[in-house]
Amino acid sequence: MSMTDTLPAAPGSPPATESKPVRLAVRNVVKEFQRHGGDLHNAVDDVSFEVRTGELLVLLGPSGCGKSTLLRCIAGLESPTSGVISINNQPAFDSAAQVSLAPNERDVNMMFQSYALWPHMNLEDNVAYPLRSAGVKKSVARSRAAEYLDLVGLGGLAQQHPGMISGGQQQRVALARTLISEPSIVLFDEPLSNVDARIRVKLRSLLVRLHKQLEFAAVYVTHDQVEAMGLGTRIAVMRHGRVDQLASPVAVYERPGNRATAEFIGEANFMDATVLRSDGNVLVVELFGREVRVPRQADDTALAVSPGNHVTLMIRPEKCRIVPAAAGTGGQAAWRGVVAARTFSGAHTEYQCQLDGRTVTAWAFGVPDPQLRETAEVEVTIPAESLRVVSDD
Amino acid sequence: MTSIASRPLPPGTPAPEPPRSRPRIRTRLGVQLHGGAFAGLLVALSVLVIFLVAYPLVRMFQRAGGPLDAWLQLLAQPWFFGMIRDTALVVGTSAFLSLAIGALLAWINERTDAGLGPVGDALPLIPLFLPAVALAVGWVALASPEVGLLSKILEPLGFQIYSGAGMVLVYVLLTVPYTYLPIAAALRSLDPSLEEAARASGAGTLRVVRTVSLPAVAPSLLSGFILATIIGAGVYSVPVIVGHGTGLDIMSVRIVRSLQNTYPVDYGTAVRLSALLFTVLLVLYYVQRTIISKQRFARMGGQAPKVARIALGRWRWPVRMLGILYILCAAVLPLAAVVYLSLQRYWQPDIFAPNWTLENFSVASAGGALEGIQNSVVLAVGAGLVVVLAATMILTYARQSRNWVSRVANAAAKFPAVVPGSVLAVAFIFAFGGAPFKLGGTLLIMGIAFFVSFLPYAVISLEGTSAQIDGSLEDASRLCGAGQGRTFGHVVLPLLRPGILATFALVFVRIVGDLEVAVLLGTGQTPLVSALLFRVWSEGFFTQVAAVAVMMTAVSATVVVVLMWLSRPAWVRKMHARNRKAAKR
Repeated sequence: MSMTDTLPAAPGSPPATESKPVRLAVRNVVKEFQRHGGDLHNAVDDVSFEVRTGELLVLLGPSGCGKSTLLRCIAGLESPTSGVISINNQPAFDSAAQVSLAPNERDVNMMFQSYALWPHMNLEDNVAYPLRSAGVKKSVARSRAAEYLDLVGLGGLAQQHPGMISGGQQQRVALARTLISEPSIVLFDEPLSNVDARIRVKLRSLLVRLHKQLEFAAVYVTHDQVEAMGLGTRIAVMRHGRVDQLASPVAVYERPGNRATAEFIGEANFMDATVLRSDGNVLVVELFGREVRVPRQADDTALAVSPGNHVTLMIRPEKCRIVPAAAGTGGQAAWRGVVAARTFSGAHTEYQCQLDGRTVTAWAFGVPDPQLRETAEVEVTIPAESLRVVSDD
Repeated sequence: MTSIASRPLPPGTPAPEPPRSRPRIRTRLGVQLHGGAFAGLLVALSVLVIFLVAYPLVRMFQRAGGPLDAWLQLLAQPWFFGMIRDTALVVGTSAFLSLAIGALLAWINERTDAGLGPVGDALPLIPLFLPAVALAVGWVALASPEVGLLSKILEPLGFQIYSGAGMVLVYVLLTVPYTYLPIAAALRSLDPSLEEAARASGAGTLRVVRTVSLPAVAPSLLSGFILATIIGAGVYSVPVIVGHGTGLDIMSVRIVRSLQNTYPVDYGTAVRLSALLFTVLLVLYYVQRTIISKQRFARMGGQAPKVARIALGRWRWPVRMLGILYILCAAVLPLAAVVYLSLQRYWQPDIFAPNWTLENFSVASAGGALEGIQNSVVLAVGAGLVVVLAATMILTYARQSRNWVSRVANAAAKFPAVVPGSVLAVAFIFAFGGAPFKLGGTLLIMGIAFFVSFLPYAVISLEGTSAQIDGSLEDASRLCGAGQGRTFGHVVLPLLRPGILATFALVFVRIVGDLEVAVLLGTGQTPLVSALLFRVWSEGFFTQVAAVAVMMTAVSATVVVVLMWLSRPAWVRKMHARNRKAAKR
């Protein structure tokens, strides 16, 4: 019996951007690199996606996953080994047709991690530079630059040089310079990773506001999942040069495709279970010696499982409920155990519980419950509807 | 850029088809040809440089090879082993001392609070901008027995210039910049947290220096030592001016003397000694390259780290005095002595005796000093421009692409650093002096020799500036729609400009002050000012020598000051002013 048939996609509101024109299309892009030893490996391995007007696609992944290389390929700073990159439906790179436009011939701009402001130009000239390169008259370019400096909250600093302003201010200037020529696609290479947390939050909200206001299409590279969740209209989770999952922030968090994605974005408990049978849209498994009915979804990876197979289940710690054993309900999804360790982290308290020799992490809102101290007997509920089947690769 | 002048479209409006200029579709071949013109030029330049060094050296070795008898004869000369011993002793001792002083100054400036800020950074380099001849003449004026301006102080201490110690002193003063530069650069790029970790582990200042700082910058110590050895072994002006009264027999002087003072001209000895010297230096250079390529030491990337400078407390002023003493010895005192002497009717050490005159300058001018300066300036400007242009080309290309072309060009440009000026000049005589080139005695042959010998220093000096310019600055310009030309003109060139001007100043001064090439390749028709100075020196008119040295230094100093002023554009000055303010807070 095959169990690959799953539910159709959960009916959600279709993204508002779907009708908008495609600004960037990346098709089957591969970038080979030669390792130090001489063997080849694919830093970017057959990646495809589209970005439409008003969309902000986040490339999220650990360092070395190929996200920055991919961004540099889109910018034209590096050439892919094969594939097609088109900007505004015009080929910018096409290995088959031997097209490769230089960065300045592509309708893109990029905000660098180091900001890359030119120290010898004042802020106005820095921001006006893209317009000047495009042949706009100096006076016009300058007045537009002043507008954009106002937009990022730096009006009045036009005559300063980059060496004379703070890191956060430099970032705003870099943002203004990136946006001023209204490129078809705006690229961000970890632009918020060089400032401290408070300024980062401010800039992130500035970026969200400007994105709403100016409706540009963007690709944003980061390794920070909080940033990805807050900024992205969609997130492409990358690993080993491939896109593991491409979905909305909610979908990536709620229904991660595989273990690595679940681990990279947020905290997660993983549990081994044995498949008993498939019951329509529900997978019946044996978990910790009990029968549990796990709902299947269209975008959990279509696992071809048959009875007897082992699968990995995932549940977020905030979905687990923890109560003192005395107050327990003894329900079907409830297990008895003890608290092994607890950690208070402000908004929530983390309890690591031992249930029959297995460790399950549960989060409860607020300050630690005095009844739930270490070694206390507890009951942990693992609601079946919050369990997800994830692939192990 | 599609909609530069328009406001963002309201949501829902279909995006207009961008009226972009026809997409430039280039084939792979096209890409290669496009970037190829520049690469081709660089390959040609590399081939030219290699030819200009290798061909003369090959010719020289061919001549030197000769019969084994000739070599045996050289070895059998009564002076041979004495000369080797004297040369090794003077050059080796001074390289060691220079290394110690360079390392100390670098450490003081980079790691302690006894540095003198931006002024302190520049101090150890001042001798680079002072002609070596002037330094030597200045010290003769200061410390000659009995008549030296400081001899009343120095002679009771047992020091006078015409001695081994005197020689070593001038050699050290001359070579300290070459040991200081690589060590300071290494310390600057060394992550200070390594040292802070050692200090936090309870190590005292000296222990930190001994166990962490020095080992971490060991490759640069070796570089500095070998560079000082190469410069010391090749220099001719110092031993010929200081050494004649000491009885020390220095190789570079032997080489020149066998060409200049013997009849018939003893080419054989000159050539064989040059070949020997070059071989030794080549081996040293090779050792240094091998050791450095095996070393991997801690480096910092990107933003400059904040260095917590070691507070020396009551040692601060004594340590600072060391730096000041160095600059007194290396520049202020010799220069003052030369200026003083040039204004005296005759050489006497009592500065209160009325003996002032301007006659020396008019006599020197009449004796050809103006013409010499003119020749030197023409040559220094010409060769300096070509050197700086070539170095800029090599580095600009290296910034764009790190391929074999840039590596070959870089290696070719740096190779002549191994060849001392005197050896190069000897080799040039045979290679280009006679048929088929027949360039003997022309300004051109000297210009070519200067081009080859100073290209390595220009490339190394510009590399320092280039390394400070992050590649993302050019990437950002390309992404802002600027082509290669605009990127170079508006971003790369303005940022390289301080480095280019400083490099030009360095090359200019070195050419004006050079004696090896000027004496060996110059002739009576096209005298350079340094050769003229040397002639007046041999005739014994010491006050006139001082006058020529003053004129020479004045020209150099003017060029340096003007270029240095130009090389600090308004934005740099403003930024430094702000940083200083921030540092005080």
